[in-house]
Amino acid sequence: MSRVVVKFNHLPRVKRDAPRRASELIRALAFEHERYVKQSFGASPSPVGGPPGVDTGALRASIRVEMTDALTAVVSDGVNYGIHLEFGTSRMGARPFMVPALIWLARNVVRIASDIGWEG
Amino acid sequence: MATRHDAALYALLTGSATLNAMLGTVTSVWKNNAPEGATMPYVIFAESGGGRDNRFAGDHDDVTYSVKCVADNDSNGGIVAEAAAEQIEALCDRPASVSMSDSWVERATTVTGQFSYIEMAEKKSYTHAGRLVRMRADK
Repeated sequence: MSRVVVKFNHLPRVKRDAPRRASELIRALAFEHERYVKQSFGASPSPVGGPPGVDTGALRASIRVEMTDALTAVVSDGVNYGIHLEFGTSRMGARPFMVPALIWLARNVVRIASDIGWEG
Repeated sequence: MATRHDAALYALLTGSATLNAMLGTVTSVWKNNAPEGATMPYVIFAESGGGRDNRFAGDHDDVTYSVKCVADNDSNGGIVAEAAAEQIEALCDRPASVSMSDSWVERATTVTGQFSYIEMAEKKSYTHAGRLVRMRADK
């Protein structure tokens, strides 16, 4: 017969801290996304398929993070032509900047979680 | 890398009789942007991100495309583009069976997002409606 003795029961603490730690991770991911997007911008004019080039800097300066609730972060730009650059127009090929950052984020989520103290 | 995914996606889009009927012709699928003066509606696909995935042993590609229909709002562009986007989703969110070159094998093609917006240009407006399509392949 096996017998298990729990000497250190951390489950109450894990349960108590989980919402706060999840919120911290969401926040960290959102700010990493914002940082990646802003750093990806190159020189203007930019090639089709690459991130936008900086002309006035208005698009780059408008990118921001908003925590809409504890577990939801929105990364957005504040110019009306952002989506035209992201997906293109009838006369211009796309210069994606949000989607590439999202893909990079998905590949780096474990490292980012580790950076804010999450253990594997 | 992009070439084999481009070819597979192009074949998938142009191989659909339903999508061809919506566009009017099989030659209405373009990469990055359509030639000047191209007849609408048409479909544009462009690489949005991803690429070679080096996190695992072996050769893996993980590429995300934006695939959209562009239609003139003088000809019910909103309805046409959204209907074509639905068809793009039906084509691209599916079990793996796309042929690839150089012994690469498609692992999965899935739709991961959708988008729609209006473009205003020279007193005309156009609807762009599409999907984000993720293509993964191994060798």
